[in-house]
Amino acid sequence: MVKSLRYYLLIFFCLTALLAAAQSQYLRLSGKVYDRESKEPLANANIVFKSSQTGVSTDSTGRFQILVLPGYHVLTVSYLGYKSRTVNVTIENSRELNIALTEELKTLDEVSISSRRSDENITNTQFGTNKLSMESISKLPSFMGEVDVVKSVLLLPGVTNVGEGTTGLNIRGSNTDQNLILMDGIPFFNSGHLFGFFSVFNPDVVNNVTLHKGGIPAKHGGRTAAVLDVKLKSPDTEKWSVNGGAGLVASRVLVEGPVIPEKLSMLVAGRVSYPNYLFRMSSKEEIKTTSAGFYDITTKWEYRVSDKSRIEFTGYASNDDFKLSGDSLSNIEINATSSEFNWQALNGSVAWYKQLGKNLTLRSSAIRSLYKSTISSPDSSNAYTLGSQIRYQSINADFTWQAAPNHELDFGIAVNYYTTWPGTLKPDHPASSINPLQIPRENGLEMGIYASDQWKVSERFSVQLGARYSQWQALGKADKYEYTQGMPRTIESITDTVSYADGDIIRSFAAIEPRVSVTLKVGPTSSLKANYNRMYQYVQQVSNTTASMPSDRWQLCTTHINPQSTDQVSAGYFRNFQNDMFETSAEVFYKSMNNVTDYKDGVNLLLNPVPETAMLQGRGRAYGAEVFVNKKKGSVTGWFSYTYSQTHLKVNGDFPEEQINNGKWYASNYNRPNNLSLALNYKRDNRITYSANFVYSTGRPYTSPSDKYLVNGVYIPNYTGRNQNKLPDYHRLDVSMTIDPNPKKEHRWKGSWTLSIYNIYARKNAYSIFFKTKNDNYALYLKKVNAYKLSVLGTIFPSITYNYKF
Amino acid sequence: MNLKWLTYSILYASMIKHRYIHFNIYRYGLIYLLLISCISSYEPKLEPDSPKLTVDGWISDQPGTYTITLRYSSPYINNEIVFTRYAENASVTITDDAGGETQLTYEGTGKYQTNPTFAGQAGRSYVLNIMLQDGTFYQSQPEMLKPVPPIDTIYTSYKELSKGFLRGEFSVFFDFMDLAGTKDYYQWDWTHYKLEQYCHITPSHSNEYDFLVANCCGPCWSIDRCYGCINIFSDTYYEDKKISRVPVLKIPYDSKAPYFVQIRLKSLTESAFKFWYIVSEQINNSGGIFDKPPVTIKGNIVNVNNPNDQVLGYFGASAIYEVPIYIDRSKIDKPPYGTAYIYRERPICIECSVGPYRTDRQPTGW
Repeated sequence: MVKSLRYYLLIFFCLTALLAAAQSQYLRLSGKVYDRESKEPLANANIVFKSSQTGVSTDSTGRFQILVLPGYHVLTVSYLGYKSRTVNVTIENSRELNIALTEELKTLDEVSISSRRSDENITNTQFGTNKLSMESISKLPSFMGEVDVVKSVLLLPGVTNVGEGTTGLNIRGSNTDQNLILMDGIPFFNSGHLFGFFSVFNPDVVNNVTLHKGGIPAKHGGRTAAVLDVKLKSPDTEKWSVNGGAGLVASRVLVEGPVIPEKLSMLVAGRVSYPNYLFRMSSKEEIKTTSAGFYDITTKWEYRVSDKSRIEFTGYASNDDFKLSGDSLSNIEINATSSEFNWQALNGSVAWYKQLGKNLTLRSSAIRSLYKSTISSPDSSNAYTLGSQIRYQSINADFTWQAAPNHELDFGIAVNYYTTWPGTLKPDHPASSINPLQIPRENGLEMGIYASDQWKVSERFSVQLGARYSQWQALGKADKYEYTQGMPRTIESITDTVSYADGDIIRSFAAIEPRVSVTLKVGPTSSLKANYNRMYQYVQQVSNTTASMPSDRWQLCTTHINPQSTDQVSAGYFRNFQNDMFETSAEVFYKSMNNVTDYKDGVNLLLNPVPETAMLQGRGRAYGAEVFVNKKKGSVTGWFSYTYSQTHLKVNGDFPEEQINNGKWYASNYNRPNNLSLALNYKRDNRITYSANFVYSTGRPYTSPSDKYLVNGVYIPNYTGRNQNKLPDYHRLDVSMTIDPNPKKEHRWKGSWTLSIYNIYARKNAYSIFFKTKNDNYALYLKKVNAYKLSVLGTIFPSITYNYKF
Repeated sequence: MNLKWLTYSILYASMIKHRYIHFNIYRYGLIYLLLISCISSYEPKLEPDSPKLTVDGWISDQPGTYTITLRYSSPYINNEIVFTRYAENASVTITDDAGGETQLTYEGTGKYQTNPTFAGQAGRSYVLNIMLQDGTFYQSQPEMLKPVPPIDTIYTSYKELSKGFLRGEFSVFFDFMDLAGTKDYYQWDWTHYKLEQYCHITPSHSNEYDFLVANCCGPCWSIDRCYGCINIFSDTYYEDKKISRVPVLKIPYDSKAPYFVQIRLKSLTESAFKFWYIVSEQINNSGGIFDKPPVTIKGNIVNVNNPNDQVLGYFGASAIYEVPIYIDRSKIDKPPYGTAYIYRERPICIECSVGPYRTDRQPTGW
């Protein structure tokens, strides 16, 4: 392993030397300065580069153009009668920068930077990608007034989940653990607070969110479905400021500013929840005695070493607690005086940006992400804590090289080391009669090396050619088992134990993942794109519940557990209308998935020392079509999306125990063919903004019984197939209104109110249909049908949030 | 006995808890959902499947008449009376690994009984053989009758209730020692007997607190147990330890008189435990996202000549340790709430209606 690493590094240095020798090159930065309110262009606005004190003015149409060296720049944009703005920008290739200025008299709190060309969606080779700015996310109506970065993604085409209050997204027919969720490059293993009702990202610090669901750049690897890339904003380099908000369930505060002017700036943001008073209002005893809460802290530091070099530190810590008292537990079949759920994340990264040559930039980082969950009960005779953890440590380097005017190269390497502690059970009291148990930790080394070239072949035709080489080594120390051939894999069929010492390679895999996209401009505002990519995944979350739980364990690829892979082809037509006011697209995709995981009937995954006896790997296929219309300008903005898709799985092992649905194709838990969403935002004037979103989707499949029988006085439903029935359709409308009471007055303290109403027509959407026969004594006499519908958030949820800045 | 009380006792029965079974943590999620969820009745469209043979019965190491019932499953939703199809006049035998064989006799309505002296033996394994009238032959997997440890102590804790019909309630617990050196699985249940004075109660027309009653002609006990409850336990995380505070039942504080209950601890095989574990998961479905998707539950009976023929149910064999006990309810300072019911005796006596809810035979330990 060390040898191979050396080899990679050697390649690296050779390339670096080569590139440094390359000719320096200026890049073109162009863009527009406009009035934030009216969107009118501003002529003769000044743009000054702080480092060189050179500048440029906008022309009569508000446009400017300047040649600059690649790298990190701070520029000040000013215009008479408007507030000056400082913009931090990293220029890696020629790009468009649109800057909105606010009139001096009516300052608004937020800064909106659109660092993309307005017709970027037509010209670039990327597709299957949606980008949401924090500005548009924060306008969406939200549940309990908590702006939710992850939930907003649900309104995009091709994205579904299994229901309200669940963690995770199902993107183009893939499982929730197949998404790489990144915050400034740090992978997150859990994206939800309080079982998924709120997202782990503090909205105050997020700059934008990009979802790659097809045409995934070669830079990203390790997951087979999608990349959700959350980028934090840069701390303010000019002045200190505080902003935050208070809502019904949580409050947040953000402090940012320059620590050393021009050199070091920082931001720190915290969020804390207080839902318990809401529980106390309940009439149900088991709810009254429940307590829950979360907090998270995000910090980002930026240090400018020189004009050509910059260091960033990002840190994140979060904690969730959920405590149930004995009374409530007894209603859920557990007898303990109380029980507690806890999960935590502690993540950090240090990134170094360096201008190596005139046209070569390096981003190198060291990352650590730790996710831990614990379940505990303090009941003396049965006191226990049950913990599991996953740790990710990575070093990586990404290069961008403008090799020629029509060639932009990305290449790099990432070395990731995973460690999991799948389960540790400890008696937590001297009197506890629980025996300690530890499932041994697992280690794995993942290496990715990639290169991709964005090649503009002609004015009309461009292509992105890329590939990623990924390698996985499951490493000791571990004991692995051999099973009898020709028999289902069970504890009883173990024939032999193979012991591996610390650092021994247990099993290794290597794969080439091609990533290819082509774009053909078919008209001035339209293009056709097509793409193929292959992705490999070596870690997965094992969960046989409908939605994954924060406590579900992560499993590495090892003996008997194979890496998952996906091949995806997609194609699309993109067209903009009315001077890029409307962005439209239609995409189709087909995905073939290998080694997708499902589980044997009735197995227990928790504290299972041999998960390979419980897991089954099979095939999956998903296909669909997505339509997206986005109105980007004007007083009414928003988007419409519609998706038709199908996802099926097939698990056909050699033995009946290793088959699901008799080895035939079956609908996945998250197969929701029709999906429609509409998000609208209407800015009436400077004071009031109205927003609404509507979602509709086919209900997810569920398993229903065909008959029932009676054994030992117990009515038992008999289920014969999987997922053969369908929940009623889901639809919901949310609205919100944001009021800025004093938009014109210049106060140091600025506040605004957001009123949100979730599920305004109080639809009782089916979350699940279930069959419960327990204790239905009357059923002994009556021909009663016990089928129930569970609705989560099946009523109207109004909320109010106050946001401030000073 | 009035209707309110009947409903109440059923509610009580339904509150009997399982015990820390495999850290059944998935249920935690339910509570969270409860906060903001609601459950309503639903009428799904279901495709009925053909009726399947269901085997229902078990034997133990105690002498007695054991009943194996052979019914057919019924569509989940149907408009007919459920479970009226039986496998009649089959030939049913129980064989053991020492070559013993017992023929069961058909008693009608799908019931096949052993003679009253039949008793299993710990350490032996038993097979149920069923030959239907049409010649189809079914057989159970050999079921080992595993030994069971004694119940050490039974104790209660009292808790005052803030609302409802009752002043308070007693939780009954027991402790036992896990059998050393083996993987063990247990099940427990309880049966409450109460000597009834009246064998017939009818509401009088004058007011709702007024009842016309008739005395029983002889001794008559009402029987209460937790119908449909599955209390099982695996020693996986407790091997060779003392298992304490096993919650058995809750007793209403409605009188200072002792409360008579028989508590039974039974041994289970691993396969029986797995069967009941999945059953208990499925019948306790809460509809939450943390439910496991329901699966086909495989019992231990197979059609010998056609493995694709789905046979439902389970034939079990257990050793039993039974403790009859009077629970003392006299130590509580505050008296139980009284009732305002008026019973007016009619000058007749009514026979005890013997069945699953009444008996005229004195219970063991009474």
